[in-house]
Amino acid sequence: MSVSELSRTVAFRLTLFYSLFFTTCVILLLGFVYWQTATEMTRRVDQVLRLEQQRLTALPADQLTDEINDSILRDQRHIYFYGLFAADGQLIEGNVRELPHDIPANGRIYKADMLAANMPSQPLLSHVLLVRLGSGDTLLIGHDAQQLIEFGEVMKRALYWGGSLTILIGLMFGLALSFRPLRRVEQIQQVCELIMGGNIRQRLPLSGHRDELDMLAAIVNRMLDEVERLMSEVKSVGDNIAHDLRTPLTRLRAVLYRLQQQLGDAPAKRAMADQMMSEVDSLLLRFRALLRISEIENLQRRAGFRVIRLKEILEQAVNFIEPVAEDKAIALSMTAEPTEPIHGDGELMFEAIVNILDNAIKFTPTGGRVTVRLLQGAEGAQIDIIDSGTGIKENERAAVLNRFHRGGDDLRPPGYGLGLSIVMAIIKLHDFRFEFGGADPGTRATIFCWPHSV
Amino acid sequence: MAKILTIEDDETTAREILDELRQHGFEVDWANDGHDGLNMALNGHYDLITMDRMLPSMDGLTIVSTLRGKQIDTPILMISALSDVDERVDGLRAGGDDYLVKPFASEEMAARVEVLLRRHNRQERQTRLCVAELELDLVARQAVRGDRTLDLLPTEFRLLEYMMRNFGQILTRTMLFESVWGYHFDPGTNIIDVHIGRLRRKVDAPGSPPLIHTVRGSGYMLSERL
Repeated sequence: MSVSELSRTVAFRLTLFYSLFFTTCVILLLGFVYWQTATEMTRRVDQVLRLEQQRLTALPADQLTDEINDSILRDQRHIYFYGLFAADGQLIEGNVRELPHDIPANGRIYKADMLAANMPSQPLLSHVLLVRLGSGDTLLIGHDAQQLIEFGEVMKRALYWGGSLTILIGLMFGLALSFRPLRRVEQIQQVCELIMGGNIRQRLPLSGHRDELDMLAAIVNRMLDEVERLMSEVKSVGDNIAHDLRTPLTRLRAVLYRLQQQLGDAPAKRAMADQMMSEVDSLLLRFRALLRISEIENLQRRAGFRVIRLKEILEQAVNFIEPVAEDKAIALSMTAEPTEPIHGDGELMFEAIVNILDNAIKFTPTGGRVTVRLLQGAEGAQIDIIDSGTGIKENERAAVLNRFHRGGDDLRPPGYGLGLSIVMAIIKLHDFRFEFGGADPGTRATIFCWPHSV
Repeated sequence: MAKILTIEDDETTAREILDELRQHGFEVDWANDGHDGLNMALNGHYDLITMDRMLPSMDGLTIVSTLRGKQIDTPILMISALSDVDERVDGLRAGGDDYLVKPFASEEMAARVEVLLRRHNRQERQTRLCVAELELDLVARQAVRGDRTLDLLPTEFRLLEYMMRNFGQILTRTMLFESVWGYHFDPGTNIIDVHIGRLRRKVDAPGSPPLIHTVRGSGYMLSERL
């Protein structure tokens, strides 16, 4: 389960949306607090400046210089600026270096960079007011605004870290929340794949929490019950038809056979009887195949299972089909790696392999080649039957495995569909997997000989 | 003339079996229920019995095991609608000699009856089989026709052995497949024909009279003349 998968879940998106929303709210709140606090601090600074202005301007001119000195000494935090300038701009007393040029001496409060006398290199943002005194001198009173700036910095840091953490925690929380529903979806997906593979008896898992996924899964399960019931009904109707028709067909064949024996030397009639016989035989063959499929499907899974050796069965099958290949000048060869014995029905596996080989030879043109390979993979034995025939188009490979399907062009030999249906029934009984792949050129039919259900 | 007992409850099927066997020149008696069938089998000195696997009043398997329990070794052909491999094994284990699944082609049934009768009367311990100038040495695994040694593959040898053991009998494709390869499903294709064709090319060289014959609609027969 990858992060990109997790991040697409509803739970994750909701959590992410929620944490973004929450972060925005936090930013707004902190902003409001900052704004309120800054306004209040500014108001207080300004109030202090006014008070200082009132106090100093009320003093007689001769005490002013001393009072300024005292005030500077009392200000241990160094947040006040005082300056008494002569009319020509010369500093008479104070802790500032020079008179700011851009501030009018009208008693209003301005913001300006001030240079303290003891720290001339570092301008400090301050609230400053200038007053013209009766003596013609100018009085400067300032208050350092650095605190406000620092407070703003603190707020920004709080916003940055608080916001990042909220989003990060929200992301993690969202991922964690998505994990469970996504795992359920994955389980459901696995079961669905089994069902699509033909294992219609499988049902979607229910967690028991009665959540929305459970509700959906329960609906799908009810639907599957119904599908399974309908399928088995259709199948049993089909099987019954095949079963009921087989007896009259066999009797028809018996009558034909007798007729054939009694016709004697009448070539034209004999030819007709022979043709009828071969048609009835091919009908019977198809019915037998149909019944064989339902017979295999109805077998008790493990009843006839024994330990079997695939190599021996493959050798027998190759040996059995070899004259057919030879007649078509097809090179039939086999290679076998040592494989573990498997649990299965040897007779049915032989039947399946003969059917696949028979098909492979049918679809390989004269002079071609059919190769049988037995491999031992990590999970179990694998049988490859590779032919150099026309091949099956990629989009037809799945359809070919269905009952009665025949290749698109009618040039293909008959009997293709049912043989493979028998193969599929046998593979399913063993819980193996069968697939068609491409060879270059031709087709690769593969049986994966290990259990495939959950 | 061989005497045969048919135990079969379904009249149509019984009629079919009786007609076919009588046509082959056998004398056939019919029992339509298990008890009668067992009584007739115990007292009637039959050469062969065909028997439905499922009968009213007494099961086919019970009749077979009762007969075998009384040391009566009359060959028995079991006929059954149950085609399951396990059913076949049960039927043969109880003492049946062959097992035929319904519905069947009548000539298949007749061919099996003939082979069973023949098998019952012959010595199994032969080490050398002869038909006309064809000789099969089972110990040396060698086949000779006249003065010509036949180069046979193991499968071809087994096929020829089975055909020679049952020479003069019609052998259906299913019978050949069951006896030579030991499997009981319908191979469905013409693979058996191809095997016979290959064997025939080796046994019946051009110029020599053919020994392997095709029997129209049924199967094959090994004999000097059809």
